[in-house]
Amino acid sequence: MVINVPSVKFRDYQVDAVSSFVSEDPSFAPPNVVIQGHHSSGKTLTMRKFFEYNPQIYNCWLNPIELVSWKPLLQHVARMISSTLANLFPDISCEEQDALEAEDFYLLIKFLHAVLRSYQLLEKDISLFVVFDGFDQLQELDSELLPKFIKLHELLPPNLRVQLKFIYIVHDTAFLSRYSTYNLPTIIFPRYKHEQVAEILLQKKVSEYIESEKLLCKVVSCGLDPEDSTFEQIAENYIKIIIQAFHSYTGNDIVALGDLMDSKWESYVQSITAENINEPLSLYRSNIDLYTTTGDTFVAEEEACVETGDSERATAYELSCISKFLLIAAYLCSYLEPRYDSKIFSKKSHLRAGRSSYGRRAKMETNPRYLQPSLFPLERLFSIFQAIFPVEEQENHSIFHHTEPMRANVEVYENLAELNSLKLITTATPKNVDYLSYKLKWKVNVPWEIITELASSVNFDIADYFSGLHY
Amino acid sequence: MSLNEFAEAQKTHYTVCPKVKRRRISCEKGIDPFVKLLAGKESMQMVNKRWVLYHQLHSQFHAQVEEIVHRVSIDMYREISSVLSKDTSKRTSPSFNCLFLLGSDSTTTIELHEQNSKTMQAIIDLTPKESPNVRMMLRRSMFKLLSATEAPLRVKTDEKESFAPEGDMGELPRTSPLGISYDLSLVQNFRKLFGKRLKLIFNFKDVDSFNSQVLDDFIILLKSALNYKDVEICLVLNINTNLSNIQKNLRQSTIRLLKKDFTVIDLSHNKGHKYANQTFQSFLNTVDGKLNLSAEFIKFILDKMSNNATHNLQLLIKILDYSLMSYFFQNPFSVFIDPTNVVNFDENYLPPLLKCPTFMTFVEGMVHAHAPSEEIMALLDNKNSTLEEFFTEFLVRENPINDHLKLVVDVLENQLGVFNYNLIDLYYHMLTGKLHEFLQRWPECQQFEDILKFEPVDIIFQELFTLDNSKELFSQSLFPFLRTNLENNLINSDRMLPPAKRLPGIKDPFEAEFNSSVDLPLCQLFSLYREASSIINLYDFFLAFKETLPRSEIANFVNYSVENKESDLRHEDREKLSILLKEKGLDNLLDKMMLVWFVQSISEFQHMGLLKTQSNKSYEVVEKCIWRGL
Ligand SMILES: Nc1ncnc2c1ncn2[C@@H]1O[C@H](COP(=O)(O)OP(=O)(O)O)[C@@H](O)[C@H]1O
Ligand SMILES: [Mg+2]
Repeated sequence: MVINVPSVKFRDYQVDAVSSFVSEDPSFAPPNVVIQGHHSSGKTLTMRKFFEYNPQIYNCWLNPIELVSWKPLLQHVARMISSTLANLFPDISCEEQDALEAEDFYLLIKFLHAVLRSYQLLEKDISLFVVFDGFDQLQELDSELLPKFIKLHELLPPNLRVQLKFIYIVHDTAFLSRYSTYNLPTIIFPRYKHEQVAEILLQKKVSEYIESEKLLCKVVSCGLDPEDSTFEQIAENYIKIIIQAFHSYTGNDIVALGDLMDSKWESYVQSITAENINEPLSLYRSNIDLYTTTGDTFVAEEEACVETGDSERATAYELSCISKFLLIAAYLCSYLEPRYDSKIFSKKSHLRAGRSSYGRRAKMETNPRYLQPSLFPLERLFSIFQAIFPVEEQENHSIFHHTEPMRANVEVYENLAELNSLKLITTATPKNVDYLSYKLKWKVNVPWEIITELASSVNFDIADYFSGLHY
Repeated sequence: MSLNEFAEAQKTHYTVCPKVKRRRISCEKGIDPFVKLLAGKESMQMVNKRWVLYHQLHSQFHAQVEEIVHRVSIDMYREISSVLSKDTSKRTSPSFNCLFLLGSDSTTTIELHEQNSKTMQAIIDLTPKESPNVRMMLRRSMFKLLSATEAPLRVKTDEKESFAPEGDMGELPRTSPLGISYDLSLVQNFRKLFGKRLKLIFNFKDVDSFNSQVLDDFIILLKSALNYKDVEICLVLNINTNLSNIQKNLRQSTIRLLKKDFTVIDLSHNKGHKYANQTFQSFLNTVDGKLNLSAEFIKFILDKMSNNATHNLQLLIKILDYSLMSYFFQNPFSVFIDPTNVVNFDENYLPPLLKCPTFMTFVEGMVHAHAPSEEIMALLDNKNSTLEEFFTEFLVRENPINDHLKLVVDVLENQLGVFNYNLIDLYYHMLTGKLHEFLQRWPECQQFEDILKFEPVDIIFQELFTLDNSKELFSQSLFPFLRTNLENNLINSDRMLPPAKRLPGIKDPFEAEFNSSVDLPLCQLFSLYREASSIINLYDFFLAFKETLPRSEIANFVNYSVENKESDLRHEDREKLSILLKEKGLDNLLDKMMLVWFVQSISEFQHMGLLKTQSNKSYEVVEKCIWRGL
């Protein structure tokens, strides 16, 4: 009984520990082993490698995250065990059982009982390791589940040839600390250090990047034929820079860093030219934006193409003028008190807009903008909208220009409907809304930052309405 | 006090019927919807011709519009299915094929390229309602996958069985060892179970209403399916807000995952100007050489289109339609768009002609040029029909603007490769003589400057053939005030109901009369509502309502319906009604019906925002909802 010990970078101790707990011979292996460590600390990798090096140790894997709730988890345990055994020992006929029947723990026990009994013909005792990769990632996890599995071996007859051993890979230390009284053997995978991350990533990614088709194409299209070491240099530099730039953002998360690298590699390669291929510094400078943002956004490309037609943007993505004023009016409705409306919005005070016109308002304890938006009826919205919507100069007598205050016509309602479907203005009751009913109250669903930006785009000084409102 | 007076004083209410003088409608109406113009002096024949001509142009325009709209959807489908069927073999790392449909109302059906025997393509629709948590989402989608897979399979085996009764049942999946459960193992073992590759297309409808946490978790769950062999996963997300809205609710790592391979298709037709340009161009083509469009009208279109971000193609069509209709409706000269109609020109058309500003400037020009005064006088008096001939001569003059527009478009598209211009805006700039300004956006136009130069010209009598609206028809009718519109419709129920059909062979006198004499209860009540003061006592209101309904006609109608087997009532209803009638008597029944109508109408008024109760407890009085000044 020899156990091969694979080499995993920075995980020597853990591999050793695993190899002392995991053994072909059931008498040497504890029934439950826990492996704990944060995301991408190499748990899966290590365990996979271990079993790869030791094919004589029987094992099967389960991903609880895919199984969502515990009923399918049990069914899968049942199915996995029976199918693994069936594959391992095709000669032994075993009566067919329906794994789907294992809907509860006692049914699982019953199922396992039936299955394992047919393997009593085996010559020697064997252990079958069931690995739960990410046990605490089961969607509908509850605290009862783990103890049940821990005790499972007690419910099966001890003289079985096939002995089940469970390995739980767990992320959360808090989850584990609940079960500290069970004294489970636990192998901890500590987080990698910065340098370790760098080393692992360099080892993993350099070869991948050197061989990447895009780099080759680019270099060829530049008419260059550099040595292999140049490629290596480029890839290495890139990886190091990315790690430096984003380490503070991702922490020692190898997967996240790797993803970031992959997503930016293409544009990095694009900026390679004949001049900077040998000069890391100028290559770095030529695409400095790559390192300043994560680029995790869907909209970046769009903005670039919108730049061309600035005046038409209104028709494409932005809100229309009416919508903007409606939204501003909604914001005012939600954050100003109705009893001052007439003072603030009546035409008379409009002449001396700003602070002077509503100096006598009672000051509030807190800035109203920090509070929840208050509800308002549609009627108030429309009257404030009418008050703030700009009226065009009288000189132009055509009917195409609004010479009188904007009234709530179908167009206005259309825009309101759009704001509602964009969820910028919402109703107090979310379901079965009767939009015209007087009972319905509305509120704005936009933060101050956006509303100021929007107001400034139509030259409306919304800050003025909130100045001097509180101490 | 006499007994009569006393009885009168004890009454709960009085009914006063004021006599209303009927105005007589003077205008004789033809069969066409159009009416006589030129102060009623237009001949019936010309009215008819005007109508026919309008109809012709209208249907011509709409035939083209339909084609354009049809093309819109075809283009869309093609785009979507080409994204979904793109080749994924060259991918370096496993990733979702992710498609964002912006501005989608989630009704877009996804069409797939033809299925082949090696790959099973399954579309799985998920709505927010069906997706309260990851477990349900997974179960639902796996169930849908299974039923989608088994449907064609079953048909196939049926076919086979009919050909060869033995059938090779070995081909059917042997489900027992693997078992089918509604989780990802189904996807994982798909190849083993059904012997086909699997292409899964998740169609998330109305993504904005999903619980983003659940959606995120579900995507992460699907992520592990990416590593399965022979499985390809596409995610289609229907979004009706915008991308950044979705993005802010998802985890960064999920966004990175989706971003590996993603496509955005904007389904709202206003992205770019392609379809609006086509529509406008087809309108110009329809009226080419016949009508001009005034600059202000175009400006109006531009303004309104920018106010309506989501449906502005529909809006454009509506405005153009409306302008054409209103032009033909109100302009007697529209009939001369077809020059053959000039034979019917008579002296009634002369006075408006003389008032044409372009004509007056022309006459002024003649005066300045010292033209012989007889000539001028002859023109003004239409001596020997000189004015008529003059008019006819200018009828066939064409405005060069459309030709020039075509030239500009040609240069822009074919020489410079510019496509993202707004044709309507371009037209507007041409009309106002600012074409140069418009073209400055594309500096490369400079080389064509001499070709592109354009000055708008005035043609005499052009105002008679210009789409413009000096009357407030447009803003008023296209964008009516909502409240006013609602009220108008309530006053005239004909505005919302289909016209009552007066069948010639109608047998029973009641039905025909009933339709014309009794309005909808809602409308009936509204006319009372208009006269009521702002606080309304419900009981009084009910009495008034009851009183104004034509009781005897309704009674006749009820009797008729109960007796006559051919009425619209169903059998059981008639039974019930006749029992009620026997037990309670007609009067009682009528009172009940009216009460029901009344209560219905009142609550409908509340939902329409016409009435409100003063407090939640008392239902004695209701108050009018009046939006002052709005
Ligand atoms: N010691 C290591 N040597 C090489 N690669 C590693 C090492 N540790 C982690 N990785 C890489 O990091 C990624 C995440 O590792 P994984 O084993 O999946 O982490 P966990 O299961 O702990 O979340 C994998 O792609 C793996 O290749
Ligand atoms: Mg793992």
